[in-house]
Amino acid sequence: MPRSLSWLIALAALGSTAMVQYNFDTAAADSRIKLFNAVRTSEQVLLPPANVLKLVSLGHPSLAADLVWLQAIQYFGNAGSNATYAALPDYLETVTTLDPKFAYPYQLGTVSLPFMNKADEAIALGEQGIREVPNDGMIAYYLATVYHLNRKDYQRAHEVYLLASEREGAPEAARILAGVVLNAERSSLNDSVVSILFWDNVYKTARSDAEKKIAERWREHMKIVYFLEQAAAKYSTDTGSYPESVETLVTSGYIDAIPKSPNGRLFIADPAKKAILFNKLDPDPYYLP
Amino acid sequence: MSRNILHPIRILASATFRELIRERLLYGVLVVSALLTGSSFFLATISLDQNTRIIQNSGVAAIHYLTLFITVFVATTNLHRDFDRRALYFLFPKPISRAQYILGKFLGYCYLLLTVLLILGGLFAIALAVLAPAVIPVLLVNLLFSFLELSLLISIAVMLASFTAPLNAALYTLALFVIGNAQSSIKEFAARSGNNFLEGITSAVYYILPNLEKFNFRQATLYEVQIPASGIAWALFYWLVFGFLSLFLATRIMDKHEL
Repeated sequence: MPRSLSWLIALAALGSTAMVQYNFDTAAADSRIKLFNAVRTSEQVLLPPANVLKLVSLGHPSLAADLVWLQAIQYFGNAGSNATYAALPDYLETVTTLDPKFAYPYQLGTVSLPFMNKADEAIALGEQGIREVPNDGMIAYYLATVYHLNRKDYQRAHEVYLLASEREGAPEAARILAGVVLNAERSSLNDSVVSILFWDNVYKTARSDAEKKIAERWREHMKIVYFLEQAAAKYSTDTGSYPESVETLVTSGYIDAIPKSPNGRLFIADPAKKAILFNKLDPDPYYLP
Repeated sequence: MSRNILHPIRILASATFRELIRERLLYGVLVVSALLTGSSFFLATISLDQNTRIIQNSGVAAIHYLTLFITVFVATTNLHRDFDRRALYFLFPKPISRAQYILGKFLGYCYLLLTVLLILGGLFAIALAVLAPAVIPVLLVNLLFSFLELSLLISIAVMLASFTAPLNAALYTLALFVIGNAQSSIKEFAARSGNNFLEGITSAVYYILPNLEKFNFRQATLYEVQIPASGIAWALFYWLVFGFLSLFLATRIMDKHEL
């Protein structure tokens, strides 16, 4: 075969592969985008067990932990607005099993999981974190807030706030909050006042503008809850029954208008619980500001 | 007298090193290693505030894995090349024993290992000096223990290459590297199974095959936990005993070779 013909055949073959590649990309673009999005937003965790990852890391379990951590961040950041973050506890558990002294995943878990209705997982992770990383005050601080705000277990929250205040890195608010929750435990403060004090401390110790903004919104929101609770209590004393709705407080002249929540929530009067509640949002502006 | 015993070993080690340092493969792998080590800085940028640990872990791991591949493949092929080129015909009639030959080759490979570790570690340290200077002392400690671990593996590679084909020797050595770094996991799996026979087998594997976890202080250095002196002493003693065993067996196998 002449040499020039060989070159020609090789070039034609190369051109054909490029053409096939181009056609493949254009023909199946839609289905591939769908597949990509399905994988991206999947709640299924495709993660080998931590022991297997440790085995294949060939003496570098911390590196394996780092790689799963990077994957966890991608999962966290890429999840759609309706995501339940079902796989996040598995990711964080795998990272902390591979490297039990890695502090940041404990912090992320105890902060974020309660907002995904996973307070139990946050507590399990946080309890492991305070055992494994004894010099980290932030893990204890965040864990105490879960006991405090989600579980309303003020006794345990008091213990963990105190623990946080004795460790490095915890905000000064830890010691104050230890006292605050102890008061709550003794019923001298109600939940909304405890929450206002909590968010005020978070606001004062925030490390970033974003964190400050979130804390400020929640503090102001809880002040409105407290204001409505006071009005509802007065209404109950006067009429002998809890208001059917917050609008009742306006129509009966106890308040001028229903204040607007900075978090975009609607306030609900619950006569059965004798409490002012507020609706949950999806997506929640707390972690999707 | 001692000078006479050590002199041929030094000559052979130096000649082996000079021969290996000219390998073109070595430079290719060094470039890839430098790129991979450099990629740790990229990984750090997507780590959500965990830059230092990501740089440290991925950089140290890249140096460790790639140095392993370079030295094991180069050592096993080099030893076999001596057999293929009939170099031993010219060597052994001279006043040099099999033991001196094995020790000389081993030391030559160790020089190469040290050089590769210093080049890759040096490049990484230069980048660290700008981006994360606190990691440099940790890197030095890890390089020291990587040297001990990989030089022990080289002694095993020399032993294996003395009786089998170079590719086989390299693969067996890599298999022992995998097992050596998974000893505690293997023992844990066996204990969980509750099977006495399996536990017996894994116990035998645990005590007979090399346990490279003894040289792994990477998590301790990552979290600045003090490494116990006894841990270092036992690691050094293990290195001496296992290294001696491998080189002794290699010498005995060489004695059996018909030249």
